Amino acid sequence: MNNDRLFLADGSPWNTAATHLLIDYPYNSHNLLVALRFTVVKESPFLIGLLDTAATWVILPESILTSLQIAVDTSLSLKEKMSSRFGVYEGYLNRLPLNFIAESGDSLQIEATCFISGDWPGPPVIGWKGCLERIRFAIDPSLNRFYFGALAG
Amino acid sequence: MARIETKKTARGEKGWIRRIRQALAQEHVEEARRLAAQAVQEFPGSESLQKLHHVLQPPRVIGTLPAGKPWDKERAWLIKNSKSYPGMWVAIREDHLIAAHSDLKTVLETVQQNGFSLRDILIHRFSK
Repeated sequence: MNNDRLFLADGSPWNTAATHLLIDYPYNSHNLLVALRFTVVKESPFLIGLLDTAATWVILPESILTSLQIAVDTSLSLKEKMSSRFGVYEGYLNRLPLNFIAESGDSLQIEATCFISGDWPGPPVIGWKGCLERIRFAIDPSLNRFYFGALAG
Repeated sequence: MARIETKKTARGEKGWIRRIRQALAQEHVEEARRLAAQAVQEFPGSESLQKLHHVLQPPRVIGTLPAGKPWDKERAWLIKNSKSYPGMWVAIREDHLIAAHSDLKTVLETVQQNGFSLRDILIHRFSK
């Protein structure tokens, strides 16, 4: 029996993976309430992203991409401004592969729409549109455990 | 006649792009997606609209990868040291600090100079 698997009433599996979360992690005057380990592209260092279903987009500081020499197809970019609790920031929307790293089961690769900003002062944010909206996930706060998988169908 | 047609098309493209960007500025992403889909149908040859349409697509699962190692030690290190490196980037592997510097590129170079693979480390920038 695998305690990391959740099942629907008909016995079909609900998730394919699970991992731990980082909870209430101090960051500036705020806390990262719920944070998750992920990577941008394969074979790159792990990052910590704030899991934020209220954020419109995934937000990535541009310095991460440039330092890791992750090529971004700028011909696909859409320059935008984004309003956040830190203020208004300029950046561009682009598609990037993100990997949500499982501790058990399969890590999940998602082609996500990300807002990449050169002056974003916060941590990476894993937002709703372009990312979480197509992931099935659940949290057990008593275990700091994140259960996830691709949407069925 | 052909010139007039071209001018109308260009104005139409710009009009679509403006409407899509307005929708995005108001965080109406579904509206922006709907407009982008309509726009590429009307102007299938427009590179700008094709790009917009692509960027705004819903996310797509592209595959799976093997599970990673548990990150209990990294989480414990981060909690223990949450105030120790204000404003700095750190690279850690399990419960060991590999590098800390204000410049991420320097951190990554130090990691590699010490013989570690970038895929085995966790990087994080502490708040100031």
